[in-house]
Amino acid sequence: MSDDSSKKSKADLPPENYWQDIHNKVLDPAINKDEFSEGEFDSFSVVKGRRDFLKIMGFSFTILPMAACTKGPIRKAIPYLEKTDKVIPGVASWYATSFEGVPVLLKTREGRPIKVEGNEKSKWTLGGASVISQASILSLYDSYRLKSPTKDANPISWAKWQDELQKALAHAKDEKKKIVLVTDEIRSPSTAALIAEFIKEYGIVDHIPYTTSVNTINRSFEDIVDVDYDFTKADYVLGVGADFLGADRNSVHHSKQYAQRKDVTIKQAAFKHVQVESVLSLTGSNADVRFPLEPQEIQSLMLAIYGKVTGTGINVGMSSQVEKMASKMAEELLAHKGKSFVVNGLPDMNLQKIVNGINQALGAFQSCITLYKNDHFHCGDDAKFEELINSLAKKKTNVDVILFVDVNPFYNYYDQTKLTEALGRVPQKFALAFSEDETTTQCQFVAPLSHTYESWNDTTLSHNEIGVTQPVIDNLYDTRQFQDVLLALLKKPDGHQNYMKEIWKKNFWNDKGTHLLFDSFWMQSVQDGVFDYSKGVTAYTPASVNAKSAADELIKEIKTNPELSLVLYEKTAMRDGRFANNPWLQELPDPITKVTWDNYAMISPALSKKMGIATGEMIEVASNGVSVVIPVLVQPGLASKTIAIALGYGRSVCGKVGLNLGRYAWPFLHYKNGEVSRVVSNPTIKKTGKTYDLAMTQTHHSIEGRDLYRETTLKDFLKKPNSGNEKKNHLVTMWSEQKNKEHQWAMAIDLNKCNGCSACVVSCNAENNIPVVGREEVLNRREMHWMRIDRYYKGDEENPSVAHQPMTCHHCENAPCESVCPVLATVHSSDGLNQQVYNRCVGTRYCANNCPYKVRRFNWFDYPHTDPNERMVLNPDVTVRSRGVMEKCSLCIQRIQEAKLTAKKEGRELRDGEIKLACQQSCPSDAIVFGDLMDPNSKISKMIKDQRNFTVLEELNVKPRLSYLTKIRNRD
Amino acid sequence: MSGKEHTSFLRRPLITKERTYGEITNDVLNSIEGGPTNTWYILFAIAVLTLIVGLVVVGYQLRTGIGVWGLNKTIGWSWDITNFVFWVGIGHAGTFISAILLLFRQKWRTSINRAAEAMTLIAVCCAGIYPVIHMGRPWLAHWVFPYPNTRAIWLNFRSPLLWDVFAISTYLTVSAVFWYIGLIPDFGTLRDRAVTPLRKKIYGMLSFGWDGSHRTWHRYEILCLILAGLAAPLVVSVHTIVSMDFATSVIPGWHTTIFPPYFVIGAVFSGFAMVSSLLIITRKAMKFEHFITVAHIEAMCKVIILTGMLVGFAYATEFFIAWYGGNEYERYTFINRATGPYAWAYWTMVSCNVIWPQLLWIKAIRTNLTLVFIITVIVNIGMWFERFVIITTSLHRDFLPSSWAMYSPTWVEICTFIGSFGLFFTLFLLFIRFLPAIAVSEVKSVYKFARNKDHN
Repeated sequence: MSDDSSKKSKADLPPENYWQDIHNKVLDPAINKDEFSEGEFDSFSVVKGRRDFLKIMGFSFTILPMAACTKGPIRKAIPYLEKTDKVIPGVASWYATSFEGVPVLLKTREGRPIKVEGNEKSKWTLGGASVISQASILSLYDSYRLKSPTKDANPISWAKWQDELQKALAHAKDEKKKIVLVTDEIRSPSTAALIAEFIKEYGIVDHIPYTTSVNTINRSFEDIVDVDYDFTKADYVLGVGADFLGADRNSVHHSKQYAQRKDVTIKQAAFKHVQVESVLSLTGSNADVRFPLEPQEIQSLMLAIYGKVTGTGINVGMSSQVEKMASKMAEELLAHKGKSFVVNGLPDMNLQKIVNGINQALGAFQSCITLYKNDHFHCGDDAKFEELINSLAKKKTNVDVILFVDVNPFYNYYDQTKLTEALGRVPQKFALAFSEDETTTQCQFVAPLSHTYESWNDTTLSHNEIGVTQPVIDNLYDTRQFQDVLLALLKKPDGHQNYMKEIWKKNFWNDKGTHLLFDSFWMQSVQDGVFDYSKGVTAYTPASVNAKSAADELIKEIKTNPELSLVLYEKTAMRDGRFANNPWLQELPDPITKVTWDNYAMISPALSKKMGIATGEMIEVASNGVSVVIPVLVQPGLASKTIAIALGYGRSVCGKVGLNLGRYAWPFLHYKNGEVSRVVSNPTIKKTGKTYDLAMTQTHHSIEGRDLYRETTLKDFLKKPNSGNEKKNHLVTMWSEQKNKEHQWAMAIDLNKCNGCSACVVSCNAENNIPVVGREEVLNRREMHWMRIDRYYKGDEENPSVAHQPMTCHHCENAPCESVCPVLATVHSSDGLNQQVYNRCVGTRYCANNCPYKVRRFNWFDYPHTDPNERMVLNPDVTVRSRGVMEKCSLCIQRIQEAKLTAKKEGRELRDGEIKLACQQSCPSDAIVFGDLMDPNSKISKMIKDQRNFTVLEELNVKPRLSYLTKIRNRD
Repeated sequence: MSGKEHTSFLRRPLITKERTYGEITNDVLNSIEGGPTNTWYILFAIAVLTLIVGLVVVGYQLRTGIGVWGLNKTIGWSWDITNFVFWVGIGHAGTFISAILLLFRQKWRTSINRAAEAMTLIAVCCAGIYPVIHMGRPWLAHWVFPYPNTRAIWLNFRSPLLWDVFAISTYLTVSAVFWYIGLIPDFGTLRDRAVTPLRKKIYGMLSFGWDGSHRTWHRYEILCLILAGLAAPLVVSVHTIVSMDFATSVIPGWHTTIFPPYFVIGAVFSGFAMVSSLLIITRKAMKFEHFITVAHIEAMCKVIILTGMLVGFAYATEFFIAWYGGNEYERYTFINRATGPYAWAYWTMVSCNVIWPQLLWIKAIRTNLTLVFIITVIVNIGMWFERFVIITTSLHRDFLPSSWAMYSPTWVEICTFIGSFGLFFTLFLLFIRFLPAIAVSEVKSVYKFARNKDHN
């Protein structure tokens, strides 16, 4: 092997396979090569004469029959004759854990975690999972994970790696130089305690929590606080560029509460959500009233509202339209005083302080917003990181060792030149990372981190709950969790589990009434995945919010009104790009744009007309010497003078999936007033004349006036519950109804609750082994998702009304697909399911043509799951489909079957709600209901009888079993 | 040749040249018995090469998966079924000419029925390829036949695709039998004229021991009539059933009751156009000008005008019903056909099928074989687009706008279509090389038409 190839980066090597026998493991390619190197068998290839010929012939004749007599390699599999403890083949075990602040349950089969579901025991999320937590299971099996510690890209042992770290730290300590620890934002009590111990041990450690997520509100008060919003207590919410239902850490909690407020059966929906934002976000698309405003207009609007709500005379120059808006909003906020609040999502400290001022004036901190302080909350600190880089660049500080833990500044810091220069001055760079990334390639020592699902940890979910993270599978590779690395440095080799127990015993096991023994408290908490924390939290009441001075500063700032603004934002699925190598997330259509695998520059229809740029044209966006050539997407609802580009793309060091997808937009960010700002004023745009195809799953955005999505206003609904749903078709039938009396399954989706977050789509992917097809095939319109969310725009294209409509197989009673299949590959079950028999399907695709909802998906190619790691995520209860067969939503028949069997074994009737489909379980809004029509008291039966219930294309008389409830918007 | 010739002043003779029966036999069979011409070799080489292209791409497609075509989740059928219907349609004229015209005692059919029937069979073979290769798992194509099996699974008799299987296989069988029975007297002649023992043996076997006795002739005539009676309804049934692939669906633009007659007329239209194109070449290449006369072509042109106008009427009816029916989806489908992204295909279809054939009203054009050839090719292009328009534009924008998509063929689909022409011409060239392209015995029977001449 030449030197070049041995220096090849890890990403270039094929993913390491599981070894099947010891030879495979021992023989690495280098050894393999030596064994059969050239020259050894030369004599066979060169026949020197008759004797040689006869010798070889004789040898061959003898050896061939002998070879033919062998049985071939025997691969030994160990049968479950001696049963492993607690593992029953075919029966799933469920473990509670959490991922990125979402408490989840992990379904494991034969020891393999295969599915993430929401943890209904959590008071915070009440079940439901986000897109990211759903997809996290696939990252666990990512073949491109780091697999062993390295020094200068050469594998070394963990012991040696720890040794090197220890030495480096000791050296820094001796030389009285600085040690810098850069971690992600930390909300874990045990990890925070551990870091504190580590700092104590080494003295000169600088801990910098580094994050790209917006946490302006956390730092907008005198102390660092954490914040919980309670939508259930509010009647009026004003969102300011806040995507609290989408790209937000607490999106599940927010969605759950938001949906509760939209449940017309409970509270008559006296709830109004108004959103002002520059970019059409998922949250904005759900608002009752939404205004697209330029970033500066938002500032002046909020100033005006602040002035009106607090009675402070504030005079900002603004258009009469904004002025009018401000008066109306201020009026409404005050009318609901005590039941209204403002949520800001823009990284703008002055704006945040004004919002705080408004909230304080509204009394929101005493009602809907809970602020609380935590010693263990290490809030992301842009200023601190900036200071480090600046002082390093100016050679003012003397850092000897820097340790990056699961952060990637070499990708997502805005000024890479400055960063490279500054960190080039640090002699020893260590990185703990999940997979190879831009930062690990800059570090001499890199070690692999365990996945969350291989680690112990705890995390603050809210002011009253702490979530537990427990490992559900042994480390797949030679990885360690960060905490164990620190513990080893602190000479505590017991592992983080024991450390956690210590911390918990000290801090959380104070409720001796319930749990007399700590072990019982521990067991209970680990089993539940969450525990109550309300007693330990320090509520924070802001003494002063300094809104007045912030307002003065902001007034100065907005004197100039830019011609054009560039807004950088994060997408619901891709966020800051750390999940770039997750194909489920890459192929998930963005809830708003329906684009997969890419980022793009969104421009408003007005700007598109003015500049003559259409979707798919490449433009060059430039500002302050930074430029990017990027395709355009004309986005209705975008503020007219705003361009928006998603961060999280353009990964240059990453696994195969995410590598070089989209364009790198981080350099547009800039540091301002103690934080990284995401708004750029006056960028220039230039046409390039090139075009680029964006892979969209939906290319037509108007509903064409068709009666497919029904909606009404709250006012009309209160007058008449079936408003918007008056049209009923008179249908006749030739067939007698033959229904099995036992069960008749049906599904209903409350469009008023569904916010389009797409968690159901990823959940369905995971549950049903749905293949990912890639950008090219999405361009060919061949994505395989069984569930999709149709998104339509209505009305003014500058500020359209957005409709999200989940679509999956409707399981029609008179299914048009069933009558046309020549070989009976799609048939109706007696309990009302439209079933696809993969074995029988010959692939005429007639069924898909004849499906009015176009929900059938065809296997155009073989989509093999050949990656031995990725295969482990497959659900063993669901067939992996082969090439040439049709597939579609089965209403999770495996789940129905399992629940039926359980009920039968226990000798009882099935209970309503016992079966939860994958999409339904994950839905953070509880918009999806599934159940038995034969049970008149079931939730589904009630939903079918609801006056808001309608079916799509009812006039075709296909009698779909999937129905919808009308959307109700609280607007005039 | 002696005696005075009396030619009718009311009717023109069907065979224009003065011939004895022996000469007629020689005219038709000499080309078979002698070696093929260089032109034949060149044409055959081109046809075989094209066929090979088709075989290679189909092989590639079978190996890789149907994803090499341009279809997608919205448009599950396009060129595949377009070509299928196109070829089935072409396969209509032969049986129409031999069966229906026989029953109506149209004597002029005798010069063209053999070639037209051969064309039918070959076209149906070309058509038959598509339903097989368009399947996701073509190796399981036999599952569409009702055969007893250990898995105890049966077929869905409600599916029009299954009706297709029966309709087309029946049509192919009956047409093949009819064609073969017609060939038997000519095989007898070929056997009798054979100079090599091998030839004698082969044609002897093919002729089923034809002895030319009155009894044999009698039975032959009766059998032909019976088969004509059987085949005539099949002409109507095949395309009726093909049209039901679409008419029984729920998709706007497909779900139309006019489809059966509309498809049958269209098929006769395209079939006659194809027969005309082929025979214009054949008569030239095989020197059959006095058998296949301008009058024959003219007669076929009249059928083309009639059917072309019927097709035009069907187009108009579809639009009227889309408006009159008041179904918003159907209405949109037709507006989209005429004005949407595939409007060019729609207008190509209308101009090729309705406007250009109108030129055939003019006798000067109808009798100018170059112009007729061009118009018949245009008609076939138009009829191909008709199927494309029906299949693709109806699917690409159906009920839910969220699923609307576009389709364009890949090189694999284009090469497969070209390959099917390769198969068609390879088989047709083999046919005119080894079998009498004109029914010798039948042509002799109409020689006397409009003639009164002693043939001693």
